Amino acid sequence: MVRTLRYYSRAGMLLALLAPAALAQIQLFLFEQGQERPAGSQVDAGQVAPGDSRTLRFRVRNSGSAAVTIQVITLAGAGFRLGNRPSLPYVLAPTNFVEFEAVFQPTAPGNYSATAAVNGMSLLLRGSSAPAALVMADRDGRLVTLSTSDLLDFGRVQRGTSAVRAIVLSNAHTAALAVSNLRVEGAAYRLAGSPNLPLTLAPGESRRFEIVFEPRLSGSFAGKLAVDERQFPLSGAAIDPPLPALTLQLDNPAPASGQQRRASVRLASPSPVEAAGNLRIEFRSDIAGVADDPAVRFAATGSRSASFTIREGDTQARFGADWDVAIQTGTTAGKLLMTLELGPANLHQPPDLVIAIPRAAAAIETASFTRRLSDLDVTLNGFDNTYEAGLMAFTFYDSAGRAVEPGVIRVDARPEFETFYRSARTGSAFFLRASFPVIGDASGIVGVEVEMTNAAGSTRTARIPLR
Amino acid sequence: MRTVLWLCMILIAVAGLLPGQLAEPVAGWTRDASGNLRPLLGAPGGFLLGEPFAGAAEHFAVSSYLALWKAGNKLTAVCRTSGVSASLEVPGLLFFAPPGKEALVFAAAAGFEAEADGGRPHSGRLLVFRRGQFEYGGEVNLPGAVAAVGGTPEQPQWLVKEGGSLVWLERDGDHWRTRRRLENAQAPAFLSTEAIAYRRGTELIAERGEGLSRVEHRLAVDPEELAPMEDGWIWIRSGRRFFALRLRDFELFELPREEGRW
Repeated sequence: MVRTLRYYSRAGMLLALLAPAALAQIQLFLFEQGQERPAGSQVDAGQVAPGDSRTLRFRVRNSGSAAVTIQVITLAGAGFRLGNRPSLPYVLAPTNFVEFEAVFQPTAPGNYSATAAVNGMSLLLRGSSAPAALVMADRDGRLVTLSTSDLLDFGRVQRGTSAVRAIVLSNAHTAALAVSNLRVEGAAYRLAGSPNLPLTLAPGESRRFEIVFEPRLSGSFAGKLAVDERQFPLSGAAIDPPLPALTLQLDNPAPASGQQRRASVRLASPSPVEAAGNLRIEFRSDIAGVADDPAVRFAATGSRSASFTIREGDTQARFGADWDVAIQTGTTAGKLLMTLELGPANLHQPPDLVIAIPRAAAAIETASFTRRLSDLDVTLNGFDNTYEAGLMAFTFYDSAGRAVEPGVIRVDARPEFETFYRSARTGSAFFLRASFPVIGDASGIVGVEVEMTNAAGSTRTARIPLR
Repeated sequence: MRTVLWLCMILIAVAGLLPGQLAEPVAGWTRDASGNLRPLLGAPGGFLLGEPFAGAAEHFAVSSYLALWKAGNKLTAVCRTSGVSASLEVPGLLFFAPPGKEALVFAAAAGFEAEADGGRPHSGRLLVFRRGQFEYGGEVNLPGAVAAVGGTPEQPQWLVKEGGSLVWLERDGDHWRTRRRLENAQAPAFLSTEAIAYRRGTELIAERGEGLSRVEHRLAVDPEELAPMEDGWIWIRSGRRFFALRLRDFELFELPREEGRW
């Protein structure tokens, strides 16, 4: 059966008004597979199954030296229609081109023809359609007929899982149909339950099979279902499975100042994905007038941020080559706020772990007792995380272990400590040298004990021997 | 009666501290990633890196009294209280005993013995830093390659290699007296009057005390270099990371790096 349509239109009337020189300037080309070729007077759209479509891209080129106005682009004929095209009128500059599409989409078997016209030029388009199996896909519980221009989308699935779409081949014609080629292309796709080939479908007969989308990697996957010469595009995306719940842990849930604690990040189950993140610490001082303690930081990075990675199968995050990371607790009472960041830094994210560093009695790390000509010197290295240091008591001892009169010598150095702490850069850590001028023979004094007191308690050294 | 006498002797019980008697503490020294010596400020668990004190130093040893380091062929010693310093050109390998008020240094003789034993020599000379200057302390010929030097200038002690172990030696007249054999011990090693530390496999073994009171502790840190960083502390390099071991309780602290290094 040949279907033709005579073409009379207002546009055709306009063509007659155009100057012949302008008509000579434009040429029609067919653009296929990245190449242009002159369209000539007739173009064959080939054989397309009923319901499928084929798009022909045409280029209208201006080969003259003056601009040409495209007034008319028409397509008349059954089974053909115009696709993308420019808005008209369209001024085509010299040497430039403009494209339009002719879509051949037969609805039933047969032969088809149509006439395409651009300004005064025209060409004949031909195509045919042979009986072919209907390809239907299950969509939301009902079968939808697919054309080769329809995308069969499998949506987003987790990597390592699968999505299945049922496909039905059906013969809606009155004669038997043979299918000799049925396959899927694309690494993430496979057929399940496909019929043996060649397949003969009697009139009204249907055969069902499935396409399985099972990506092993994350990303987008394109594929094709080929039914004889027809190809139906497939599409799907795979996303990484979610990271198991992370738990932040400290090796000691009740740390104190002057310690180094190790933080680790545990996963609720072996990780199915690779991931990277950041552990951030923040310090909030409990001490009025002390905004921060610069010593609170990760040792490994020297900062308040430590990056970690998680590999597939890991049950713990890795900090560099280690399973944990050392945090200095500093020398100031306050709170350590620890936050796990798996995406971009978010300073408003609530902390995953808040650890209190309680106020404590002063800590004396080292002490020495020496004698100069007329002085007894006591040195102390320590810290007071309450910043209230200054109340001290010194007791000197003779070689018999007796306290030397006047016994306990009390010193209130709180003003000096306050002044010192105002400019100190090392938290509450201090080095103190207390000198006791002596007249006479002090050789019998061989030891001293020092007590420091703050609101949280007292710390007393062991007997410090004279060096 | 005697206690009444002391009352007269301590004339001024400090009513307050004088200016300058409170300062930011220097907890020890360390080398940074660039090899520069830096003071460690603050307290353990609150260490901060101070500004570089000296240029790149291959070896160093610090006590509350002295700091010694070697940069190139130059050996430098500084008295930390007075600031008095001295320098000496000493080529070759140096071993520092943990210093006290005085410092003992073993300068290895360059020669085939050193080369044949991976740079750990059998012979060399002793140098002593006391009263602000270096003194010659005599020549030493050891029965094994040196792993560490310890003791005092008057009574030096040695850890030397013997087979797959270290032997702790001291001089007894014309002979070497073995104090103990440390089985499967390897360099690097550390020997002070209060502690010994050495590598065994990929662990650091630290010991404190002697005889029945000896306490041994194993630490999962793969030591490549050990140094006395302050009284009662050992500085440890493991790969590109630095640690400080407090000997009184064997607590290990990772030393902070300069910000931004990982």
